[in-house]
This record gives sequence, C-alpha cells and structure tokens, in this order.
Amino acid sequence: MFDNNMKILVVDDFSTMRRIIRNILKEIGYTNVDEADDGSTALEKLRAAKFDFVITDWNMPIMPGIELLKSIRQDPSLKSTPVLMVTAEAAKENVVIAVQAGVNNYIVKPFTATALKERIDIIISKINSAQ
Amino acid sequence: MSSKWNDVMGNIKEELSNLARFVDNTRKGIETFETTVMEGAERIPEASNQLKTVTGDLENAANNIMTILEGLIDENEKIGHKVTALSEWAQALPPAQAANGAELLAGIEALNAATKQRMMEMFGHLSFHDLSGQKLKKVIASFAAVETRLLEMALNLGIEQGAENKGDMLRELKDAGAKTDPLNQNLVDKILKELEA
Repeated sequence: MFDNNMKILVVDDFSTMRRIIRNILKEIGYTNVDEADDGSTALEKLRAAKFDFVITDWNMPIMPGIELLKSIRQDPSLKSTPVLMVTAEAAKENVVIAVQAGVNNYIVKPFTATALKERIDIIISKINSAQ
Repeated sequence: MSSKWNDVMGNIKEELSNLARFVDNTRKGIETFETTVMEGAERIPEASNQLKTVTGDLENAANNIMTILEGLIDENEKIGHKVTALSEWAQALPPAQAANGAELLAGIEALNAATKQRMMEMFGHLSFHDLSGQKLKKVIASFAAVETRLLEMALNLGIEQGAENKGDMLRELKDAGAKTDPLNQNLVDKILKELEA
C-alpha cells in the first residue's frame, strides 16, 4: 500500500502550491499524484477512485481542509486514509483542532523536500506499526 | 419698556442667527461626510481589483519561475546520467587515468547534487505566492466588510426616508457583509445609482 507508487491526492486552491508539492513529491520518489483545488472536489475524487494518501491545505474556498478532514473521517470507506495537513496556519489552536479532527500530521509552509519526506515517513511508519 | 423690548428682540435675533449658522455648518459637514463616504465606497472595489491583479501577477511569476526550474532540474538529471555513463567509460582507462577521471567525475556529481538540492529549496520558497496570496485574500475580505459598512452609512445618509427599496438594500448589504467574498458588484452599482438619483 505505502510504496513509491502509492496514489496521493494533493488539495490546494493555489495552482502554484499544488505544482510545488507535486515537484517535491517527485523529488522524494512519489510520482502517482492527482490534484484537487478545494475540499469538495477532493471528496468527489476520493469517493470516485482509491487514494492511498491525502495532502491538503487548510485555507480553501467552498470546503476548507479541516472540513475535508472531518468528512474523510466520517466516511466509512475513507476514514482510514492518511491525511497530512499542509498549511500556513501555525497557530497552536489550529493544530489542536486538526489533531482532534483526526489529522495524521501537520506541516507548516514553506517547507523543504526533506521536511515533507520526514512527515510522510512518520505517518507511514505509525500506520505500519499499528497494523 | 420699548428699550427693554428692543434688547430682548436683539438677543433673540442674535441667538437665531447663531442657530442658523450652526445648522448651516452641520448641513455642510454632513454633505462633506456623505461625499467622503461615497468616495471611499467607490474606491474600495478598485483597490480590491488591484489586489486581485497583484495575486494573479504573483501566480504568473511563480509559474514562470517554476517552468524554468523544472527545465533546470530536468537538465540536471540528464547531466547526472551522463556523469554515470562517463564513470563507466573511465573504468576502462589505464588505472592511473581511471582513478584521476573517477575523482573528477565524483566532484562533478557532488556539484550536480548540490545544485539540485538548491533548486528544490527554491521550489519550497516559491510557496511565497500561496502565503502572500492568502494574506491578500484576507485584505480583500476586510475591504469588502468596510465597503459594506460605508454603503450602509451612505444609504442611511443619502436616501430619502420614503425610498421604497431602502430596507431591501440594507438587508442585502447585511447579508453580503456576513460573507467573506467581495461585495456583489451588481448590488454596489444598484446602491450607487440610487444615491445619484
């Protein structure tokens, strides 16, 4: 499941940010990447096809990342999908809200390829050790 | 008696004159205030549009830089493949030359890897567009809220009490103010048109 071919959904309303994350993912070995520009589009894609991992922004129009996360956790077919929150919101309360909503990890922009790889590896390692 | 009456009348006349000047100054003040409010309300959509243009320009610039960076990374990877091919070729050389060649090629490989790392760092830093764009969105939302308040004031100051649709427009403004999106331009135009009438 969690190999270099795992299917990742990148959710961000800024096309530039999606492109940055896609390039960084390619650099750290993940090339099976799809994109969505807000939470509701992401939810449609997640329900239409199997994704192994979600990387989502917090601040987005229509459906913000935190609502997407809550929807994923409430959907029996999606609830176990790992979610990494990528956001500019570094406030402590936001992190707490995200954790309470079931986020797997949280990374603050701007970030490096190494930092993103570390977060993905931590999530995969925790899931693998829990199984 | 006549003298006292004249004094009273003089005092009343002076007081009425002062009162008239006060009313006139207040009226002028309200007119200036109305003009200021209307000018402010009219300029805010322009400022919001300028900020949206800035966001678009930043996005274009970031995308152009990324296109160049993607090209450079692609070339960087090609250099890496060529260095690997050269290393294999150098192994067939006489031992002394092979060692020398391997050392030089290892140096090129290290430089190439360092360059790629720096290019990836540049990718990360290009998220400035997202960070500044989100801040600009908040500024645009604040402008929309101020615009709503100004237009509410303008409506209350500039429209006669009998205006039929004043209540409707105030309700629409209240609804629009509750949203973070910029104020609907049609509603703004409608209000501005009403005030000019």
